Amino acid sequence: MRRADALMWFGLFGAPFAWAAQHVAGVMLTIAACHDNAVGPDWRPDVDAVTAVVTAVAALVAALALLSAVAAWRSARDADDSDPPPAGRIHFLGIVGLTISPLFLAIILMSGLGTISLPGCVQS
Amino acid sequence: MAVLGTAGRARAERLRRVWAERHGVLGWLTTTDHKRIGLLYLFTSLAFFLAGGVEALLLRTQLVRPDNGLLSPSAYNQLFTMHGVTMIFLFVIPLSIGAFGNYLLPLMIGARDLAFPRLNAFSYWVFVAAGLFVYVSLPLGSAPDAGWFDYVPLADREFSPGPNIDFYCLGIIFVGISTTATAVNFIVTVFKLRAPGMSLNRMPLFCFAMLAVSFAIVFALPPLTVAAAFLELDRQVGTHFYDIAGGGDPVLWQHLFWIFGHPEVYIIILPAFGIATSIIPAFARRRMVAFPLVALAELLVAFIGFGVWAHHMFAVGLATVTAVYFAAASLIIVIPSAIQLFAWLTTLVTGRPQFATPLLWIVGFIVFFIVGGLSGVMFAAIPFDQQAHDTYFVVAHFHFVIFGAAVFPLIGGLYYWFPKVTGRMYREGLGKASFWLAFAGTALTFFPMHIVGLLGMPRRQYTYPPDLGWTGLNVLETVGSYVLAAGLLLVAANLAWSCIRGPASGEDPFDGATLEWAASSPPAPYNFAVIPTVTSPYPMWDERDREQDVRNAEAGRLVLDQGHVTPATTVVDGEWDEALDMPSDSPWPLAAAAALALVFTFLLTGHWTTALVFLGAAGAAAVAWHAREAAAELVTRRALPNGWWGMAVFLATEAALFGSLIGSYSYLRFTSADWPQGAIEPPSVALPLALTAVLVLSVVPMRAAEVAARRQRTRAALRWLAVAFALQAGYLAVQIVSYVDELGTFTPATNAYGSIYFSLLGAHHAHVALGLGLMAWLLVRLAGGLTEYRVTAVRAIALYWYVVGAIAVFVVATQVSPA
Repeated sequence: MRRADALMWFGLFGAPFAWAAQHVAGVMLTIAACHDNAVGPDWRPDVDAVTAVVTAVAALVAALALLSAVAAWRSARDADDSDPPPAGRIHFLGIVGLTISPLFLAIILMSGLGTISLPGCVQS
Repeated sequence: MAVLGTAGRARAERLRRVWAERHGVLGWLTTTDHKRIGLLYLFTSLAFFLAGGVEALLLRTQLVRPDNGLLSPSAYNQLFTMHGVTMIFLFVIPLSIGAFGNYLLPLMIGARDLAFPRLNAFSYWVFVAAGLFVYVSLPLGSAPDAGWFDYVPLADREFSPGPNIDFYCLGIIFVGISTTATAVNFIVTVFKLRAPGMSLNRMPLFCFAMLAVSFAIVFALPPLTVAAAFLELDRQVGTHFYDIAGGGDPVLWQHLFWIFGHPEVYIIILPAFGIATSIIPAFARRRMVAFPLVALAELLVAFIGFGVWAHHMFAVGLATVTAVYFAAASLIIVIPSAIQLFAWLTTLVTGRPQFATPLLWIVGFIVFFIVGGLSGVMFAAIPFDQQAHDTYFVVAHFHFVIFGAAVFPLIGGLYYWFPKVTGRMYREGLGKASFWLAFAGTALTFFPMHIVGLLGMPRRQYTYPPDLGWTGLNVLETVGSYVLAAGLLLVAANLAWSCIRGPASGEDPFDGATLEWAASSPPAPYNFAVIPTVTSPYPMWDERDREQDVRNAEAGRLVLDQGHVTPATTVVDGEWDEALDMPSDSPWPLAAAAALALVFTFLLTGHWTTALVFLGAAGAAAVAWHAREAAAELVTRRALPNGWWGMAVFLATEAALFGSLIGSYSYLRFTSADWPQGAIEPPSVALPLALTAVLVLSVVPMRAAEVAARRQRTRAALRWLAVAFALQAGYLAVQIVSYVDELGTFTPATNAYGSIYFSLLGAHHAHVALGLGLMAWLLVRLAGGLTEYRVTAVRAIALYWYVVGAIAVFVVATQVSPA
């Protein structure tokens, strides 16, 4: 069950943390790019390129988390939600992981693709 | 619980003696019983609800006709600000978390109290003191008057020269201490005090909601604390965090406030979700549909809620590429909310619902949640948001959410658990009448606000001219507010009358699913004569488990009547860990809260030295409340102790605090034309790095002390602690000298760089100083030998230093970054 436990925890937390990292990085990057910042005279970050890389990595982590959650759930698919641990808990948290990972993948892609497709530093 | 036999009754009587507290007023002042503290929260928050409600009626009366002169503009500003502050900080959160959470959480997980009973009492007294602190401003004519979100520059000293905003800033920080302490307590309670067998997948949905809320509080309140502290420093010390002329940025306030403010919406509404998931299965006579999905939705809403804050700022002029991150999260957060909505509806439709009073309030909640939720989704569309921004449409949206969706379930919960708390039944007919009055009043008050908002009526306007077509709708809203007030008065009358004259209810009048219904009504001080057997999230519907409880009581298994103890279990799977000796009633939490109240009072009046003296008094009270140790003998446990978990969660708030400070530094840097601003030289690199290396190195002797303490080697533990103490004290001494030296070159009042530089370092130094205080206390205690309590203290304080060391790395990296 140790492998299933590891898959379960990664399936549960992988996608949320990927989104959180992309969100913080994206917001800071766009604020930095769109103000008279003083990080250096040559500070002209390529928002689209950086966003594409960050989004790709975050999306990959979220997709892997989804696969992990599916694998964890399959390892305990005969169990019921309220069965004793570890099988019941892995089944329960596996369902949670495989439900939330696509949602976070969607936010990651919507944010990243939205940033890339919109003109930079235009007031909303 | 089924009827106990002779042996079971004798054990219950012994438990009653062990868990008894003082009687009378003194008993209430020193209580640490979660049920009594829950009741104190209930009545105090309802008193604030009354105040906030009267304020709302005055506002609506002022707006009943054009050019009305009932309230002056100044009085109107103070009243709408106090209405918001009261309802958010002093009513909904204290009622939902303080009253419902306190009373029900230990009962639902089969525990005999919260993990830290004295911290719980402290939370309550701080809440009372903070509420009074804020309300003293009203009769003085100096109540906060810049709205509950207190935007700068309106709230700066230049435009608000009186003490109004100081009451707001200090009051918000003060009440935040209470809320954070409660959240830490709840998280450790849910993690560690569940009855054996209650693995995470068997935990009631109400407890998932409370867990989600507590985590949200832990991470959401520090940004608000930082925001309010910055504003107070701008006002009292002359710093420039929000002052454009000094290199600051007023939009920083909005970011910090809404990083707190949007999760706050979920902090308010998640307990309501938890109550709905308790009431619906009981009255639909079936288990919740999609239990895991509802649990995840509660946690998910709290988590994604942290990524949507700037949708309150779409009209500020953010870059579209920034706003898109928030628009995406704001659209997706609808999905977990919808998951819960469909789960509630499906449970009702596929069950055999009995529309008794509690369920009626939940149905009202569902209706209003749909209305408020749909208008919320509209705000995720940036063009619509900009059109409706600052109009009454927004007021309509958030009142449907915060009143209709958050308060209706609280009232449903009051009816539902009234028999449990009082042992009596309410009057069903009056209950239904009160619901229909309040339902009609809510709809009549808030729905026309959508229309009047779309017609262009701005919010926070004390009056309006007669020729704009707003008059009729405002009359409807005002009439609705009085109908709503009548409905709420009927609720109060029903419950007050039933409290005295209601028929006896028995233990479980609604055939509820969760463990609180296994306790007597009202519950005994020890909650359960035997720690309940749990094999599902609906333990009261598992009849064989309840029969097992009776057999256990007769046989003396899981009774734990030898002392003031409750079981602790493992975090994830709820397996037996140890029997915890719980602290009993104490006057020190009240004393510490009173001292803190004086600290904030003297901060308000600018007597900083006197405030520092009372801070010392609060520290002394905290030392006194830890004077008695729970258990002398060392125990073998499978999981980390409660004290370690409490420290870990507290440190999570500290990490969020420093995250807010470092984020503010980065924001000011990104929005400044030069950095450091003015002619300030970049900081030196060598000394800060060397000093940080010393602090980080001090975790080595701390770790050695921890290992020695766990191996019961007292002298070695003392020796390593002394080494660590010397390193940490040396670090702080050199840092303070360097800090004072730098103050000779530039100050916090020089510009925004100086403000954030000294604030960041000052906050870090304060944490090192607090750690040194803890170390001194620990060294004194360890001189008397090792006990289980002291080993836990060593582990918790070692964890504190590990995290302070890690934070120091980020702080110094930020500090030297311009160099």
